[in-house]
Amino acid sequence: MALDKWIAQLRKGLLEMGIMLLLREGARYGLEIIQTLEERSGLVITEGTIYPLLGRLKSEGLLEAEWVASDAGHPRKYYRLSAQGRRQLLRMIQHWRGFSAALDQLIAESEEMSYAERAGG
Amino acid sequence: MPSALAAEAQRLLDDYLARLDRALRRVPQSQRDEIRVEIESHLRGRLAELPEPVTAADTLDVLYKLGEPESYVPLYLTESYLSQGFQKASPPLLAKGVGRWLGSAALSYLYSFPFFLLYLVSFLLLALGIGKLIAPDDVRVAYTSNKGRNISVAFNYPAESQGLHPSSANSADGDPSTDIQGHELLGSWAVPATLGLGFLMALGATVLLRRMTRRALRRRFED
Repeated sequence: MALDKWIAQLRKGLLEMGIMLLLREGARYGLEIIQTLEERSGLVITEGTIYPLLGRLKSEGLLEAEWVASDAGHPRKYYRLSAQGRRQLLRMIQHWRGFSAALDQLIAESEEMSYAERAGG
Repeated sequence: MPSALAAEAQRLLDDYLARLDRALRRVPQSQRDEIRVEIESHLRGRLAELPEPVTAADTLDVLYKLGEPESYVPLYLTESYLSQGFQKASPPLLAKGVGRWLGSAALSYLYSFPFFLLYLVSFLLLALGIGKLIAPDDVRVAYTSNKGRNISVAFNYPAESQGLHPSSANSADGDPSTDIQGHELLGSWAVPATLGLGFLMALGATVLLRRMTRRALRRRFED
């Protein structure tokens, strides 16, 4: 149970970056973002929470949105990364790489220590 | 082309959209229509991928994945108040966002208050019933009409019973030396009546509380 909670928190924290990474590739509408994230990252749990998040990123100026009429009969709201969003994403990637490398190092060191302890004891 | 829905599936979709509209009432008018169209577009997109005619079970599955409107629509408010507050460094907006976030926690305390009262009253009733059963002469509810009218509940402990110092729970004049005399209201019927009522109230409160807790838990896990 505690692990489930931790995974859920982790997903929540990374969802924003996942969405921005996808939108760097090109404009996408909500359902398309959800489906691509599902296929490629496993970050989505409850789909409904994606839309408020998209709304916030837009109101922060990181995303731009545009309504497009579709053949399917219902209009679609396409999101794309703004220039500000692009800059922000680069900084996010930098931080992520730093964190991830540091954590990998920590994992490797702690594994070495625990092996050494077991071998010694 | 809108996908063909079975009658039951169409009804489920309509119900969901009606619930969405109700949940959206608290969202500013400027955002409401766009959110409504976007969510409906999501649902139609999902349903269009399914083999026709779309069944009720498939529709339920699509709705379940999207989540209950009551669970995600408040996020629009929290997200927008918080981000506007940060962007404009506006304390009132930030406070509003934090308030929304805390709101659900505060509400649960508010909900628990009636249950606290229910349990308290049922406990008092049970104590009265059991007291009357054990010591019929020491536990009494008396009605006095001499110094204004009041009803007093008295538990006379054996140590005090010599000096006749009743502790009165509902005495208006507050004079401790006043003995509770007057007309005894509790008859032999009081024992089964207070025990029965107290037990029923405690049972009712427990059943209600369990039902509400289960609902709240289910909602939390769907987030």
